[in-house]
Amino acid sequence: MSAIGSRDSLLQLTRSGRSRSARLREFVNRAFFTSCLLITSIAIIALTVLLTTVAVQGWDGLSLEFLTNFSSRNPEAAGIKAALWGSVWVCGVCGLVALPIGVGTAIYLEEFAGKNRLTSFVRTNISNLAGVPSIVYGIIGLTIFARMFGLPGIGTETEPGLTVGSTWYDSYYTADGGVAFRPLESRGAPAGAIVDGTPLLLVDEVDTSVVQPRQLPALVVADGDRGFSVALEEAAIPITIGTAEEARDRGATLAGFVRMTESGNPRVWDRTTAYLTDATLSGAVLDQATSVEGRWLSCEDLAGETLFVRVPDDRYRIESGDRAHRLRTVLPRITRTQLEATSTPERIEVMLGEGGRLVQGELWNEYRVQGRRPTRYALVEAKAAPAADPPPVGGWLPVYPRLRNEFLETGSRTVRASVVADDAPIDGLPPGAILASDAGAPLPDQRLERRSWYYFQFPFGKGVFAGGLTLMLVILPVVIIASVEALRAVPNSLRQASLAMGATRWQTVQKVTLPASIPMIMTGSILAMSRAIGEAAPILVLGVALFITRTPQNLMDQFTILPMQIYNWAQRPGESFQELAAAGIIVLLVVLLTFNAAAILIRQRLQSRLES
Amino acid sequence: MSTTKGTSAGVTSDRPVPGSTPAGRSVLKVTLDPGPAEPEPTVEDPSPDPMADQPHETVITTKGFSSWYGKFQALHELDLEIPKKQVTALIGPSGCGKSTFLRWINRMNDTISGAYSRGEMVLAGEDITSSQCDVVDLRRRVGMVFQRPNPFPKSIFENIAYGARLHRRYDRSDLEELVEHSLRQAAIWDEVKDRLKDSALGLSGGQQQRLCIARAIAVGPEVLLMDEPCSALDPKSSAAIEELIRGLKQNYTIVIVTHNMQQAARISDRTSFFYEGRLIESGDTEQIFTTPAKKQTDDYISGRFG
Ligand SMILES: Nc1ncnc2c1ncn2[C@@H]1O[C@H](COP(=O)(O)OP(=O)(O)OP(=O)(O)O)[C@@H](O)[C@H]1O
Ligand SMILES: [Mg+2]
Repeated sequence: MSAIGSRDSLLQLTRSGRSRSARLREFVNRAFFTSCLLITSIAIIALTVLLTTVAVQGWDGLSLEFLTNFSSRNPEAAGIKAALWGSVWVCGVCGLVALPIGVGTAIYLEEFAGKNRLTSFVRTNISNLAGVPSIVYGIIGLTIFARMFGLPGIGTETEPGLTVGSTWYDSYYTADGGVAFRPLESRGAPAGAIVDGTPLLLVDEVDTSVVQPRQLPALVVADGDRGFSVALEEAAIPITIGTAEEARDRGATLAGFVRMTESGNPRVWDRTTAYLTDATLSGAVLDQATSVEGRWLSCEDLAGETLFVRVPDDRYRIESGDRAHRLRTVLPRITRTQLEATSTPERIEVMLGEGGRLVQGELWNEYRVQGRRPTRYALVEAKAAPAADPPPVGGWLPVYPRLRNEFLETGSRTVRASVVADDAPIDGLPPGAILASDAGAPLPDQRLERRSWYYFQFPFGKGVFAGGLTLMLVILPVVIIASVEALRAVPNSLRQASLAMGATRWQTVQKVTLPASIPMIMTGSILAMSRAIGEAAPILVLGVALFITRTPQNLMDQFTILPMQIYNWAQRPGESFQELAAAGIIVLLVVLLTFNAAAILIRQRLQSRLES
Repeated sequence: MSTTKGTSAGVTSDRPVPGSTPAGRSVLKVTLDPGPAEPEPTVEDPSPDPMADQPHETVITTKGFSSWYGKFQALHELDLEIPKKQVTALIGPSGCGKSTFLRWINRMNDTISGAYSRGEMVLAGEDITSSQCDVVDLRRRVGMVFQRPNPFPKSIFENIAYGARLHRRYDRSDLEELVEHSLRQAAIWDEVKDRLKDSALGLSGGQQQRLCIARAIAVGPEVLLMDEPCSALDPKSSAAIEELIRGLKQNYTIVIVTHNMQQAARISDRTSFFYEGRLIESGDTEQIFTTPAKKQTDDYISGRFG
């Protein structure tokens, strides 16, 4: 009774105290709540504004082309493909290396290592490492992976000490002035003498920024007996694609754009970079192969086939197949002003050796702007020519059915080339022979290095592998810490239960601890991977090339990554580059969101599997 | 009263140390085979009455056994014998070293850094404190059930199969048979037979504890150690477990730690009373509970201290 009475009086006391301290308490509580709300909303508003700005700015730039194009000096044509794939490669390497090492280390620390001074020292240091600025890891990565401390025998980045999966080619002149390449025993082998050999025609001086990563149209280059590529004759242009039957079926097509180069060898241009040029084929040089002057360009007819068009200065004549052709010339790099200037109708001459019959036609020019690029369409009306016309001099040329697009190293740069596929050898050409390349300089006198997909070198240089390992350094501490925490969260009673049944420590880890902690490990690791995707500083320190126009071809290949590409665009003057940067940010955000969504999904899957 | 005075010491004296005689060894070898599926009718418990004076074989013998956690001595000079196919209850106030003793029997103390022991502990003729002892095999032979049920976050089937699969490969059908047998032995088969694929975490506490017992049985141990298996359970579940222990006695040697005097009296054949790391008294349960030799024991079991 008395106890209840005293409790009552205590309650009384509490009630009376309510007047003051309780009111203050309530006020403090409310004030704290309000300020928290305010701070949160400021953060949210700032974030919203930022995201909206980015979205508004970048929205226009977003298109399928933006994802499938490579970076370019011309903002209209620039895309993010190289960076996107670079990020995928680098982060793939990073994840594949960091996860096993990180989780393994965590398992060792948490499950196997005793709790002595050394392990606690290691533990503390791993936590400290997580706070080290990522730029420091860039420096470490550069020293260790890219240069391997410059140890003797290891070699340098440009002159690797050991390479696997690379073949060297040496160029030589053929008897008729062509340039060919042949494989060398080793990089250091003596240069080959000038010998007659398999003729090759090289594509040259292409601005790689606008080259699309597609198969070059097969370049038909051989005039069998004389061993040279293009038989340029006044009467006919014997350049086509396909077997004779094929060509007859779908209308003969021609590819490329021949012009003179300094070295005097005719070069065939890729369609995408073809434009009208002033260069002419001078009779003197062409004596070896041809004797015609003219301008050349490639066209596409309505069926999408490429035609080879000669534009003589004096005559405007179309010679075509026995049906009407509408020819279209894609002029990727033409500017609007240039477009105005050159928009006078022009008549061009199309020469096709279709079934040996030449046709003539009239030509109108028509300009249109399509997508990001002005495209020039040349409308060609072709009329059937008398069947009696003489067949093309060169006859039908062989088709090269399987050409692989490859990137070759020339010591300082990478050039693109079409290479004969191994499984589809061509008469007179060994598998792997280089048919055409688009080096930025005359290729004779240079050695080409062809790298297989499994190409590997020591030291790693500034390629994908070194980049991935460097990022791995950045996220490794985070992965380890996350995994240690995850393992620690597994109740000890489970370990005891397993051990008490005679399980070894490894069996316990493998069958009990790890499965129970995998969801948490995954969450931590994927958060770490998100960090890796957005990380630019260490890669910047590694010093990778900023301007990359292709996806990585092997683990040692050059690369760029999304944040670097965005940074690259953002620092350039001009509205359009800012737009590109914003579009790039959107892509990066989408990638991050996808990643996190995947993380949540995987976690939920595993969790429900464990619990059900 | 006077006859039982020396029991705690006398337990060891009138029996040969198992393992020292080849005969004792060979008999024990028989039990090394994975537990028979059914309670064996052939090996009939010779003493339905624990008071009967028939001698039992001894499975575990300790002599001058002491153990330490770092500098702290948890056990002092224990001399104790644990008879085969009987239930031995360890009682004593909290912190007196019952769990410590239990954990030495299957060397679970190895996981505690700083824990070490001195003296002899012999299981079926093998000194299990030595570093030569194969701990993995020892733990297979000596199963353990913990105070709190700790099933793995896996299915009921996987929980039972886990231990068996640690030691050898099984056909699916063998495994199914083993799982059923173990669950039947643990008297939980009827409750779970339709939900073997479900998570073990979905069972009630009492069911989980019986599952843990089944899990321990599935490895085919000779000895089952139980550290307060009923302390987290309600009376009904406790009763089920007690019933289970009584049944298991026919095939297994059971050492059980309990704070429940009634429980100890109900299920055990022999009782050992620990106090501050020392074995105060050990003897047949009925004798300990009716005519304890030591005053401390009397005080403890009558609830006057502890
Ligand atoms: N891991 C350990 N490290 C240090 N000392 C320990 C450890 N485990 C137990 N001890 C100590 O050893 C002594 C015996 O502990 P033990 O757990 O064996 O007691 P118990 O008889 O099982 O008690 P309870 O009935 O409460 O479970 C206690 O004094 C305890 O503090
Ligand atoms: Mg205990």
